[in-house]
Amino acid sequence: MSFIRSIRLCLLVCLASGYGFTGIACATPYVPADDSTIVETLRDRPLDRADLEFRQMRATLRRDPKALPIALRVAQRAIEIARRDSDPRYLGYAQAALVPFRSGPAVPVSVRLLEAILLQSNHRFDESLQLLHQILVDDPGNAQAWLVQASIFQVQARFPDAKESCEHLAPLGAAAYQVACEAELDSLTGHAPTALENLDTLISSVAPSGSEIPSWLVIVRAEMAERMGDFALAEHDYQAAVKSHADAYAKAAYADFLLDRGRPGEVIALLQLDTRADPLLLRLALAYQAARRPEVNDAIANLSARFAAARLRGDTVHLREESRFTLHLLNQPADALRLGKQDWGTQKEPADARGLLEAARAAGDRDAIAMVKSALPEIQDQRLTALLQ
Amino acid sequence: MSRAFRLRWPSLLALGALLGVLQPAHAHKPSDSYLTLDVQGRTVNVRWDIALRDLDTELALDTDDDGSLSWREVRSRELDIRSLAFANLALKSAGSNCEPQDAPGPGGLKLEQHSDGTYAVLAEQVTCPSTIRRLDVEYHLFAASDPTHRGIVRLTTGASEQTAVVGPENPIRSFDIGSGSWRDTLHDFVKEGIWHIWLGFDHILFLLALLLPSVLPPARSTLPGAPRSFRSTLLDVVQIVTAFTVAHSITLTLAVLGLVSLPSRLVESAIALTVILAAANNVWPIMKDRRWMAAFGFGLIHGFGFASALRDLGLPPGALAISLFGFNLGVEIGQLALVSVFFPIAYLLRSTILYRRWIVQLGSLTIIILAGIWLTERVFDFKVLPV
Repeated sequence: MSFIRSIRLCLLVCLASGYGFTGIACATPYVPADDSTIVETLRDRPLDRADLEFRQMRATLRRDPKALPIALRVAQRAIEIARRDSDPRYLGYAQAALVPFRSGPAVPVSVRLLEAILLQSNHRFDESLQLLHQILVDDPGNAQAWLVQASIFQVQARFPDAKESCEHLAPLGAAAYQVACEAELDSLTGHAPTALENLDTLISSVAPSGSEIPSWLVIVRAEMAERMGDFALAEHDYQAAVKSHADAYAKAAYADFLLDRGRPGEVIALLQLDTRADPLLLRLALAYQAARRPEVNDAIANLSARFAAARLRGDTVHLREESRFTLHLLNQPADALRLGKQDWGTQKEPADARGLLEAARAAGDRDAIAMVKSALPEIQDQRLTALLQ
Repeated sequence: MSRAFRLRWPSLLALGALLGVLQPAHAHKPSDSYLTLDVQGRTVNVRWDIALRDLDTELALDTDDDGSLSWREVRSRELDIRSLAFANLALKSAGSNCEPQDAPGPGGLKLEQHSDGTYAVLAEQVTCPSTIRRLDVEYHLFAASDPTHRGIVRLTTGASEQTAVVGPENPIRSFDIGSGSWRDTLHDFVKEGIWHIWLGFDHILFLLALLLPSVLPPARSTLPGAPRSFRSTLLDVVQIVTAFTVAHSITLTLAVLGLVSLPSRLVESAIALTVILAAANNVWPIMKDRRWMAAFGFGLIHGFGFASALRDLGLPPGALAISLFGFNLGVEIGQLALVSVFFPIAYLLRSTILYRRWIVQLGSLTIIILAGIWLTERVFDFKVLPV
């Protein structure tokens, strides 16, 4: 959306809602009438011990920015918080903690690895891969680096490279990770049933019956099951994931599953309070639309504002969401296709494929469909089968 | 949401192990501030929206640590907020800082809702030394504590608008304002022209040296010994001033347009020489009634001197003609002002010994010495005199 169009949208939204929604202020600033008026909520939950510890560490680091062990812990913790709260500012704090160590002849591997992870979070995959390559040359026994590298290759649909990275894990003592890593790759390259079996075996050994399956594993299986059409298993696993670790990723994946099953009411119940997280707001908006609820208009306006704000900044991490938004909520297939293609340039996961295929069908672009087919030739995903015809 | 960011491979690995692939931590928004700059002539109206959340992280606004900010907690720190903000923003035009007009008093802080929360709204008005043709914005807010923070800058001037994003990787951004109104440009350059001639002692002394004898009886006087008539004097002055003006206008134009180019050391030295010669002519007269020819010939050289000064001011590409015309006009106005001060005094004193001997003779000798020093300085490229 051009800057001018976004201004107009902003004005429209202002008129409709009485106050500025967008990143570009369009309403007049105000002064609260009362000193005791709460003007901003800084956190949704009270501070726990981990938060207080983090604060303390940051304060220590401020006094002595060159204390490497503390800087590493601050950066790690910040990344965890970013993930837990879906809050990218913490990625900035993580980056800030690492800045004093980035120059000089020998940047420690630990710092470089965290930087590679930060690059990955910002979708700067090629730069992250370059850094990982260097790290692995200096430290070939770094299992974490192999893992991150495998992840990125998978996102880029470079499956043989991903598999090769996975194979380094067991010799380094991370056998469970290798199994899960390979299983996921297998499920995307035409060996889905075997993959699911292998994953089941892994899960039984890691979490014998009755005990809780680690949420990272259960989500992998949930997605795999969904792709294969085993909806009962998928639902069971999604619910487990959301219950044990209600992070934004699990919720979004479950919401997508529910939307596909035609159960928007449950999505609304699941995500009602999660309007701060853009991907969750998107699912909520789609649910409102499916359920024909009037709240959809506000949600659309809100999302438009957020995408406009991200575009102003030059961020391109939301392309997948924006393409989906533009197609299903704004009903603009041509723009959605453009965004989908842009997204496809960076990521080629099944969800990206789906977004691009849906936009391509709506806009009548058969070349895009062929493009997806050639990148994911052996994909077995019931959501994509009809779209790929 | 990209799988690349989902929780995976948590700390089952070695201690200090990092996380695996991450969550899509972009669900909230990364940190931005919104800087609106409205440029009008020499003034910039600044409006800066900064997230309360970011201000709290930096300044610890939440004094009771209850996880929310009350209006009291925010407004009581207004001065700290302003200091933090404006210590990290510099606005410059033509190499000089633009400064706020008055010290902002308290009570100006407001709030605004944006897509990711409440922002503090700071307003300030800054003035630049002259009409802004190019504004340089230097931005360092939160650079050390959050390298992902960005300033979203929106600059408006009249009907046009430009946007840019600034941050630690590109903290300085320049905006071309265009020439502004031609009236402003003209006004500025006229001022510069006047200023330049008033500060250009070598030009002034040259002119004065030529004009000193204007009030004295001409060489071929019909009535030798008789004081010169007003009309005759005026004619002489007008001839000389006009010749000088025409000459320097020609070479100023040629030099500014790049059609003729002379090294500045040569030009400056030559100017000093012309002053010597003009003054010497008063003591050892060679040209008495044709001084306008000297005014013309030497005026050509002076024009090159004006040109380098004009170029140093920075010529707006779209308004070259106006700038040139304005500067020239300014020089003439300044010149005229000087002459109109000199002329009545000289005319009234024209018959006195004070004038003929002291002012003209001794004055010219002094000018020769002064210009001699200038010549030496300029030829050998060092400075002795403060002017």
